[in-house]
Amino acid sequence: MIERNADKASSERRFRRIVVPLDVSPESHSALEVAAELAAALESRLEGLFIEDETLEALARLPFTRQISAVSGTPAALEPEAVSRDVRAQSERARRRLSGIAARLKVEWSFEVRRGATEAELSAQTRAGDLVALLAHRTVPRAAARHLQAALERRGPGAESAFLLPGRGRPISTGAVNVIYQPTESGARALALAERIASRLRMPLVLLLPEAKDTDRLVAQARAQLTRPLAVSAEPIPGHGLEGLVRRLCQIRQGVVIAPIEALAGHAGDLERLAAQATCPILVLRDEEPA
Amino acid sequence: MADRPLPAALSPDRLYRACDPKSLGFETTAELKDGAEILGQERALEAIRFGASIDRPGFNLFVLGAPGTGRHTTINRLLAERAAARPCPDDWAYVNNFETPYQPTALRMPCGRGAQLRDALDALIDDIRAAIPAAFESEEYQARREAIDQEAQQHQQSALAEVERKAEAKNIAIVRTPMGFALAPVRDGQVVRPDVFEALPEEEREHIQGDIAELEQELSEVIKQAPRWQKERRDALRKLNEEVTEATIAGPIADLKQSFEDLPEVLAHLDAVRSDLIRNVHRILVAERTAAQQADGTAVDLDPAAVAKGLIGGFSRYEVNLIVSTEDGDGAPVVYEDHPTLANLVGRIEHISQLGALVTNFSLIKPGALHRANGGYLILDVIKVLTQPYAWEMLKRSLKARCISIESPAQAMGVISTVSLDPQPIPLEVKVVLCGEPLHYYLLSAYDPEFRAMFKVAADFDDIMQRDEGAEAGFARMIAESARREHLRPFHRDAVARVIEQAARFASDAEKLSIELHHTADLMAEADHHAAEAGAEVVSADHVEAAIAARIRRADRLRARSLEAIDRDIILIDTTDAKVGQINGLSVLQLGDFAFGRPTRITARVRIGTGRVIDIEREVELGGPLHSKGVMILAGYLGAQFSADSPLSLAATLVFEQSYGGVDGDSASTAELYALLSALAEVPIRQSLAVTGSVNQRGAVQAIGGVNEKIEGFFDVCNKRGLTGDQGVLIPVANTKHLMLRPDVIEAVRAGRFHIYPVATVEEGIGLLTGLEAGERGADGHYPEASLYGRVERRLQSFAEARSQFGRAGAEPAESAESAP
Repeated sequence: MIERNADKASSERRFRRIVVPLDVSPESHSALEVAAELAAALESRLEGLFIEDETLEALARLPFTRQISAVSGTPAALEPEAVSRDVRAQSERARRRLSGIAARLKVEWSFEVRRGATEAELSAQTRAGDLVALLAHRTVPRAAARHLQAALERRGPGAESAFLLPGRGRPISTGAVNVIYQPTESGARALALAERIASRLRMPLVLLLPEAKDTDRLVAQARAQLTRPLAVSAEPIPGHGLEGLVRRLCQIRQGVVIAPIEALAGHAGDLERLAAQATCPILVLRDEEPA
Repeated sequence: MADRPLPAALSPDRLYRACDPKSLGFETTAELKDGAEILGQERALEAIRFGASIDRPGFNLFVLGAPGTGRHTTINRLLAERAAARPCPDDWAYVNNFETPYQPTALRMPCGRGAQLRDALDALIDDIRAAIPAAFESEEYQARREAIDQEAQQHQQSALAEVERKAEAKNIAIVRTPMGFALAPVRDGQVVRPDVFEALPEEEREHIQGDIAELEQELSEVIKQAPRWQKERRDALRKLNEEVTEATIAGPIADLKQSFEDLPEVLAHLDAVRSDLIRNVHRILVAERTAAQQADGTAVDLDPAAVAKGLIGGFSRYEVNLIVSTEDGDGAPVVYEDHPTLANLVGRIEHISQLGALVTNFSLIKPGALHRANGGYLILDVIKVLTQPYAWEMLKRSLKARCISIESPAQAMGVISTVSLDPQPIPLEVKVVLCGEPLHYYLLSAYDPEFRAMFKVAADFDDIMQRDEGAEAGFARMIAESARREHLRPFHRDAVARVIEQAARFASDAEKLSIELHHTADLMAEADHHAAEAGAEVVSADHVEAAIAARIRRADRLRARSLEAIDRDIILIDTTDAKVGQINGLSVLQLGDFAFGRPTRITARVRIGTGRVIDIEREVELGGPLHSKGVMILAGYLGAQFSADSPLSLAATLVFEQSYGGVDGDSASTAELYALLSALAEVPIRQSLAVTGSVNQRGAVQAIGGVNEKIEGFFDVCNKRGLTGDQGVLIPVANTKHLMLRPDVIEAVRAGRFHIYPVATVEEGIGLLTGLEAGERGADGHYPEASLYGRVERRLQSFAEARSQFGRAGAEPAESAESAP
C-alpha cells in the first residue's frame, strides 16, 4: 500500500531541465518535438546540447575513411574540412529548429554546443533532476540499443532523474498518456507524472498493468492516487516479462508511455527491439536516489 | 355647267362602320367562356402545325409578323398543346471523367432517372465521407499499417544490424557522419586515432583496411536496398488502402448498381467511381481535410498532386451535375429564352478562384436554353439572337451538328488557346422557332446562305383580318379572354363594340380589323382603368371612349401646336375663297403610335419652257422618291392630255409651302395636278376644300393611306375657324371603304357643315374644285373653250407659239423666265 500524500511531493516535482542531445544525424532531431511538448506540459526548461563528436574528426583523418551516403549508399571521401563544415551547418540547423519549436510552444530554452565524446559530454552535462532524451539512431539499431542499455544501467548522484526514448518523434498530445503501473513507489511516481501530463495536455490516462493478477484491485489503488478528474482506463498486459511488455509498447502508436525503470529490467534483446521499434515516446523514471 | 355629274358628298353612314352590340349576343364578356380561337391567322397556324409536326432536319420555324400580332401567344399555345402529347425527353447530367477530367462525361438517362442518380450518389458520398475515414482510423487498419511500416523498417534495420555485428566482430564501428556513415577501427570502444593507426604494423593496417572496404561494400548494398524496401512498403500500403476502401464501398456501390442495372452508361460510371475511389482514396481524404480547413479559415498548403488530378473538393468529385431534369408526364419542353446570349443558349462553364487562379470542374457546367429545350421546342426572338455576339453562329452550328458544344465567347473568338474544360457534346433534337418581323426574315433569306436550309418553314402572321359579323364575334371572344387573363373588369357589349370599331380604325379600314393586339390590349387596360376610377364593375362604351380620348390627348401636343399655328396664320392655310394655282393638300405625321393629319398649301406656277415640271421639294432634297415619281407622272399626264402632237412648251414649279421637313409619298399628286391645271387655266380653286389622292398618267385618282387622319386634320382646321358649310375633303373613291371617322366629323357631315367627296378621276375633282367642267375633246380635236381643259390647251398653245417665236429669233427662253399665272 502506498501512502498517497507521502509520495505526492516528490512525484509532483517537475524536471528542472529537459536535455536533448543533438548530433550530426538528422534522426537526433526527432526527439526535439516530443521533448518540447513535455517541457511545455511540465514547465521545464528545454536545453539543446549539440555535441561535436571528436571521433568524427579523428575518423576523417584516417587515411582510408570514406563516407557512405545515407541516401544513395554511394561512398565518397571523408575530408576533415568538409566534416567540420557539415557539423557546423548541422549545429546551426539544430539551433534554428529548437528555437522554432520552443517559440511555438512557448517554452524557455537554451542551446549549447560542446565538443568531445558524445556519451562523456552528455554525462558531464547531466544532473539529477534532469530529463534526458536518448540519442536513438534507428538506422544504427544496435547503437540505439546500447544507448538505452547504458541509460538503464547508469547510476550515481549525477545520473538524470528520467530519460526519454523519443520513438518516432510524433506529437504526444494526440493519443493517451499510458503509464506502466506497479504497486511500488516508482510505480506511484510514474502514475503521478502521467497524471500531471494528462491533466496539462487534456489527454486520457491508460493504466498498463503487466502480468497483473488482481487487475480490479490495482486499478482501484491507482485511482485512489489520482487527484485530478481524468478519463482513466486500464489495460492488463498478459505475457512473459519484458518481452510481452515490449511487444505491447511497440504497438502503441500515439501519445506517450511513462515507465518506472524497474519495469524495463530484462533481456538486452528485448531492449534492442524496443529501441528499434518503439513508435511513441517512452519516458523512463529512475528510482529515486536516497537523499 | 358640265354634262358630267359631279360626285355627291358621302352620307354620314358611309363615314363609319359601326359594330352592332346586339349582334354580339351577350350582355358582358363575363358570359363568354375561354377558348377563343386565334383570329385571322389561318395561314400562319397551318404553317406552325406543319413545322411543329414534321420531324426532319432543317424544318425549323420562322414566325414572321408585326409585333403585337400575337405571335408569341399563338406559338406558345400551339406548341404547348403539341408538346404535352409528346414523350418526356431524357435527363442529362455531366459527371467527372476520371481519366481525363478536362473532358467531363455526359450521361443520358430516361426522364426522372437523372434526379434519382444524383440523389443516390449524394447519399453514397455522405455515407463514404464518414465510413472511409472511420475505416482508416480503425484499430485493425492502424495495426496492419504499423505492421507494414515495421516490416519495412525491419528489413533495413536487420540488414544494418547484421553489418554492425560483422563490424563489431572485426573491431570496427559504424559511425554516423553528417551525410551518412563511416567505418572506423576501434580499440577499447574508441575509434583508433590516426597516429595510433599509423603506428600499427603494415600487415595489420592492410588487414583493417581490407575489412573496412568489405564492410563498406556491404553497408553500401544495404543502403541501396532502402528505396526498394520503401517501394515495397508503399505498394503494400497502397494494397492495404485499396483493400480497406474496397471493403467499405463495395456494398453501397453494388446496391447502387442494382438500382441502375438497366442503364449501361450509368453502370460504367459507377464502376469508374469505384476504381477512382480505390485508386485515389488518400488524396481525396487529404483534399477533404484541406476543404474543411479552408472552410474554417485554417487554410493550408494544397497537395500539388491532388490539384493536378483535380481532386480538390474531395468526395464531391463523385457528384452528379444534373443539367436537364424532367418528370415523367411533363411532356416535351417548350422553352422561351428571353436573353439569348451565347452562354444562355449553349450553356457556360463557370470558374471559381482558388489560390489566385481561376479553376473549374465538371460541377461548374451550367446548362443553356438548348439543353433545357432538348427534345422539345425552343422559341427565340431573332433580333435578340442576331444582336448577341456569336449567338446566331453557335445556334446554327448546333443545329447543323445536331449537338450542343459548350464554348465561351473567348473560345468562339479563338483568343485563348487553353481549354479549361471540354465537356462531351450532347446530342441535340430540338425544334427552334424564331420570331421576327418580315424584314428580318427577308434579310436573312437574302444574306445568310445557311438560313433557308435551317429554317424551312415560314409562318407568316397577318396584322389585319377581314371584318364581318363572324369576325366581330370572334374578336369579342378574344376581348373576353384577354380581359380575364389580364384581370380586367368584364366589358359591356357596347364597350366591346367600341373596341372592335377602334380595331377597324387601327387597321385604317372599315372592312378590316387590326390584329396587332397590343393596341387593343392597351386600350382595354386603359378603359378598365377609367372604369375603376368611376367605381364601375363593368367597362362601358363611355370608358372605352374616355380611354381613346385620353390617349389622343396625351399624344397630341404637336397636333395642337400645328393647329394653333394655322389658326394664327403662321402657317398659311386658306379655308375660304378661291385662289389660282393654290390648293390645300393633306399630309399625315406619324409620331410613335399617334398619327394626325394636317393641311399643307401646295402652289404651282407656270411659264414657257421645255415641258419640265420642277418639283422644288426634290430640288432641295426634301422630297422622297415616291413624291418625285408622283410629280413626274403629272408631266406625263399633261403631255399626253394636251400636247400629244406637239412639244409641251411648259415650265412649271410645284412646292409644298412652309414645309421644312421631308415629303414623301404620292398622295399629294392629285392636289399638285389640280394646282398646276389651275395655274395653266388661270382658274381659281376653292380653298374650302382639301384634296388627297394619287393620280396615274390617265387621270384616275388612286387610293392613299391615312385617309381618316387627313380628313380629320382638315376638319379640325375648319372647325376651329368655324365651319362654313361648303368645306370638305376630296378623297379617292377607293378610300371610301377605309373611312372610320371621328364622331364629331360625322356629326358635322350629318349637319351639312362638312363634306367628303369620293373622286374617281381628275376630271371629277376639277369640277368640285373650280366649278368648271374639265371638258372633253370635240370632233375638232380641241376641248371646249369654256372648259378648264380648253383654257389649259389654249395656254399651252400660246406657250408653244411663243417658244416657236423665240426659236426663230434664235434664242431659247430661259426656264427661269417666269410667266404670271
